[in-house]
Amino acid sequence: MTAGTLRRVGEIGAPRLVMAALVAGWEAAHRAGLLPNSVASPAQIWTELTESYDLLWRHARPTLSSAVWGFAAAALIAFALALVVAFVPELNRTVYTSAVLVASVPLIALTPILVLWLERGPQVRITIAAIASFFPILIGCIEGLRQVRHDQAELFEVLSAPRWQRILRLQIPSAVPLTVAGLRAAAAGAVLGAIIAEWSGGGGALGLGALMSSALFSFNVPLTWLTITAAVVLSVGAYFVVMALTALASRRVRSG
Amino acid sequence: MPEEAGPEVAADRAEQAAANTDDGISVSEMSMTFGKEPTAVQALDGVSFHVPKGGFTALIGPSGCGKSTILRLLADLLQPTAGRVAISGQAPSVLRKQRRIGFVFQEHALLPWRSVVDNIRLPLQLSGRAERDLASTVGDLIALVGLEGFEHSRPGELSGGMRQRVSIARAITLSPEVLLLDEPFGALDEITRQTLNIELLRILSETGTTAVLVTHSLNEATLLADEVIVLSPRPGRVEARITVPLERPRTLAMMKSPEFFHTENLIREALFGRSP
Repeated sequence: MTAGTLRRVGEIGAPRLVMAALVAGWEAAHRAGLLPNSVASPAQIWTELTESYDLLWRHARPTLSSAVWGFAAAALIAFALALVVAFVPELNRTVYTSAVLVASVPLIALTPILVLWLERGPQVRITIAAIASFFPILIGCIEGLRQVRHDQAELFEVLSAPRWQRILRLQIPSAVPLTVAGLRAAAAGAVLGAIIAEWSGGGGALGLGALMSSALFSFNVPLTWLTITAAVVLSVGAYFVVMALTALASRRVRSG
Repeated sequence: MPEEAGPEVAADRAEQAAANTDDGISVSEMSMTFGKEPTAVQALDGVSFHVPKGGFTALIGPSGCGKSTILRLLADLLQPTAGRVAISGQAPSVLRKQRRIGFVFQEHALLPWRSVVDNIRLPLQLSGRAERDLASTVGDLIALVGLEGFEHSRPGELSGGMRQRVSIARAITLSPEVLLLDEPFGALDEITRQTLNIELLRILSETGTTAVLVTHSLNEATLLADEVIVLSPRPGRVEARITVPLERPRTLAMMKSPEFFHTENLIREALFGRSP
């Protein structure tokens, strides 16, 4: 094997090896009685999955759809706001400050307030998921629209390009990499936001968050850990789905 | 008091010259200071020169002497703190708004997400004009800069020399009155550079465009220009004006002629003083 092949095997294999080692270590520690009984072992989680697969799926589906809709809403609003800031740069600080305020609100406290206002239901979960994923997308868009190469900006000035042309043909294509980074950073946030809303009663009895809290409060340790694992898998999955979608979309935007 | 009257008389004369010449580029007593006191930096100090219509002037000088600043003042990307600039008798701002200025940037400034044709079409899209309004079509421009077969390549797939060809084509898409070139070939190897030098001359002779080139290369300045303006270190002043006595069309063979050596030496002396 050449050094290159070794390195490639290492790049692909190393993360998997680390994961496998962690899971094996976890299982071993559990069997040796090193972990408190509030921690389930990987084997227990697996057994729980085979037994409660239907239950888990029934609860994961609404979480997933809330996360998707919340993420989409956050992305649309962030894109629109970033465009407004591109057209009216004077609004930059106002928008930034408001966005920081929105992002700093404790979501767990916001859910009951939203329930009072919007009634219990998917609208609350979607709103919380949107708020949880909004900030990174907005920052990515705004900063992306400002990341214009100096000479390209001068070119548009020499050609006396109107502002909308400059935004459409220079700033938006230049914004793609940072916008993509923002979307990726926000993907897991949308899932976690939906789960927080469900946990604090924002969506009725359905949802991974609701299942997690009911399992926890009935001391069902394996089911609690199964829902935690499911939440992690969903968040990581969301990250990779967004990565794949943005790779496709950015090729489109940049060729247009 | 003749000592005090001296510069004023010179300024008047330069201004008159600017007013009398409707065509070409006239720069009179142009000064440029960046920033405000106490951190102000004076980049240019009373620069005057004239480029006749269809002429080619090269600006040469040590780093930081304000050569690129002069081009940006001509392109209305900057406004002078003092002095006057006129292109075809009009302010640069008028020409820029009418998109009659072509600019070739040091690092091509192509849009990497656009193909070669789409980069060359950009000025059309930004001006809202249709291709049929052009003096020569985008296809003609691609042929003019010798990029047939690369129409749909992305800049990232091209060599440095080819990228500058695209950049030149884009700068002349709207048939500008003046072409401003900011060290366009500085990053290229010697062979590519000389080929592009000759091609640039051919393109300019076909379009009749007035050109101002900023360069670090004595060789390039001599080969391309009718007049070479040597600038002093910051703040930039006109140190010397050297007329190049070579005929047009220029060829690479002329680089071996005694006139070429002589002119290059004159520029060198103006730049560095008489070397021992």
